[in-house]
Amino acid sequence: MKEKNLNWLRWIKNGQPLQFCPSCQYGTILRLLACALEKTGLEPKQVMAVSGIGCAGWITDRYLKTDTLHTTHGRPISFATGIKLVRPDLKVIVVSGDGDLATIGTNHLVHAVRRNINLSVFCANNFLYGMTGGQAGATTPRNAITATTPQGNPEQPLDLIKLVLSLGCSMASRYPAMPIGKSPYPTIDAIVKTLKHEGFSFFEFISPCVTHFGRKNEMPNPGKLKEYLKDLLIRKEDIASSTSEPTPLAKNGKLAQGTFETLIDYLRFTEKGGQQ
Amino acid sequence: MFGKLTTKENNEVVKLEINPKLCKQCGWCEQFCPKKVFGSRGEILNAEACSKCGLCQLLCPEGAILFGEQSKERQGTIQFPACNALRSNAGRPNLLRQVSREVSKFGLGWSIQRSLSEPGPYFISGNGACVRGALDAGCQFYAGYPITPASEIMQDIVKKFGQTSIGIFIQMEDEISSVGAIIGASQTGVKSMTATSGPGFSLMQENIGYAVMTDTPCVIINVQRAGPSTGQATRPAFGDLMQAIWGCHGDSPKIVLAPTNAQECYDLTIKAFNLAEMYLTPVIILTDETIAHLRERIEIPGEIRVFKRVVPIFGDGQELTVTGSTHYSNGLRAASDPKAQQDLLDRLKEKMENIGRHPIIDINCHPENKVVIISCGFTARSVAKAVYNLGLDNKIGTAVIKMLWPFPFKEIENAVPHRAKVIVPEMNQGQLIHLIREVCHDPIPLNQTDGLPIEPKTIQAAVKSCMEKMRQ
Repeated sequence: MKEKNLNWLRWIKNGQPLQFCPSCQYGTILRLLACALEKTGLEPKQVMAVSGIGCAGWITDRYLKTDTLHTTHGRPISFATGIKLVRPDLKVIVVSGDGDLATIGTNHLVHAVRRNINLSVFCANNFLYGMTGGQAGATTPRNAITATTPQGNPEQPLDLIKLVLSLGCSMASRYPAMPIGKSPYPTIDAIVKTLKHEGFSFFEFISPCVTHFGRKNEMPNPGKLKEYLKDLLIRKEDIASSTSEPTPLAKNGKLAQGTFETLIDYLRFTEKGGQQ
Repeated sequence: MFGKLTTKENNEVVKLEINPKLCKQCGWCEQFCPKKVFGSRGEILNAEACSKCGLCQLLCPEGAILFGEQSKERQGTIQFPACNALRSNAGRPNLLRQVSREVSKFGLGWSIQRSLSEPGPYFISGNGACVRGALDAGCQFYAGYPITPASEIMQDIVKKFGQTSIGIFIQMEDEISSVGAIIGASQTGVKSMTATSGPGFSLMQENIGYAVMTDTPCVIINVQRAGPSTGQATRPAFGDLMQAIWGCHGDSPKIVLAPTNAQECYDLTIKAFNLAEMYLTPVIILTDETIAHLRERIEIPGEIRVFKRVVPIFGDGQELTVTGSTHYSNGLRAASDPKAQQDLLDRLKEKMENIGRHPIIDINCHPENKVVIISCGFTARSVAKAVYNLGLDNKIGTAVIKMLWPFPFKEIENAVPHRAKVIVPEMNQGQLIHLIREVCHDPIPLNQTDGLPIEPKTIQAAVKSCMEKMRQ
């Protein structure tokens, strides 16, 4: 647990409280990122954080102590492309939400992976549009109740890891923002790996919105949410030995947790217990 | 409810404290603490059990748990570097002058540069002239998406970039990301541009507004074609005038230039980059298919005055904070402060007023004029020919507006005689005329929307019939 002795707090701006709802895990994402950035040995001036619109767009803007660019809805990757081309020496990270990166901005995500431009994209997946009041998005699980799907979401969610891997992304990881196991250190190690990766790398934080997603789907507090995540996520090491019954919302299939390098790698795990 | 723990371990004091100002009582600490030190409302229940693993400090979303020596986290106010203030105040001439003096030694501000092409006459199209202008002005980044009739700009520039390796080119997936990329590049310190036509220009609007909001210098060339929608891709029109000026949501003033020939395509593109860099604003150049594809003689001067911006950029290590949300002058987001919103919009307006003090307009009016023809873009050349053909000395005045926004209201009002009739020929259903109406009484529209340039004889006929009526 070397993290304890690292001065990762220097990556976070001192000041007012975070402007997120109680129980929101985006504050934790900020801290995990800060810790991982410190672990990579980079200096704040070598890092450029680009974010989009929505709650997740606020993670880096204002709080991360680097250059930050808070862009228009869905377009952070295109802005980051411009920055990376001009300054290849900068470590350009994109931190944004699922609605931003994978619904309105899927186009840019797809083409950034295709170009294999050296960006690290972090998607904070809260399963819906949080800031606008909890409407369903492309990543909302099937049958989930949201502001725009009062009868349950009839649509199939987008599996972002599968999407980017199918396009040739050579590193894609999925971890919960709050550790459902004993420690967050595997998550931090995965973030470090993502940051150090040469070429396009993608990282998905599973961090369901408690305010909108949790309360409408019978998990209004962190305890219930943790149980749900325990059912929903399955570590790729544990997939072979999994026997537990999923909760109703996770019935569509479990999401594999871990770092994947090829689509075949990912599908091998998901066929046994993952999302179809 | 909030507890405090101080224990001595190996003669080392370890503190555990919850900051009541930051704690939102969410209860995550109860979930992640392996020793069950915390309760469900952020209280310290069982301090003695603490194994000092430090997980709570890492995982508490609010950073409310203060642990060990780093217990001074998140106190005091956010300190933003002065560079943010400098950035949002640039575009104010006083500040600019003051800063310019200091930075000239770093090669910023005004300088005289040699043109990339050999000086002398060239026979090139309007699109080609725009490319040469951009390169001579120091453009180093181009992101674009193919569209008729603007594609030649992209093709030319990628060739030139390849030959001279002075610039970076990327073909993006759409026009939205093209503007995104040039804004990103521009914020990183290089002069950047893109070119498009009507349909792509519509897609760009949101990000152009973002460039206005974030004081990003960039140049966008819109080679207009006949619309609406896909319209006629190979035919000229001047239907994007209002969109160029008023296109983005919110009050987002920006500079709009309209050259009339290839030479002006070259000159105004250089001007566009200089204005963009000086005032930190996007500049839109409105040409049309006729100007873009018409090959003409242009003269390239040997030396050009160019301006390089004097504000901080990304990658300087200055913690620059740039946001499209309303922000204070230090770059800090102010999502609901009325004063911040008012100040920001006032500043953007002031910026335009400063630019408006130097209008670009060719006025050829005389107090004796009976008729004054006001035009912009390619139509101005038909007007010139029509006036020449009519040969009515002193009776017809002309005004050619080359900077459409900030609009030269005052100059037109002063130049056009009160009793003269104003004719406004346009390749649209009447857009420029709305602006002329603000300062001239009852202007006469002359609209042609068949996808062809207005011919001199059409203008001649309009002038004649206008004079007939005046005589009666």
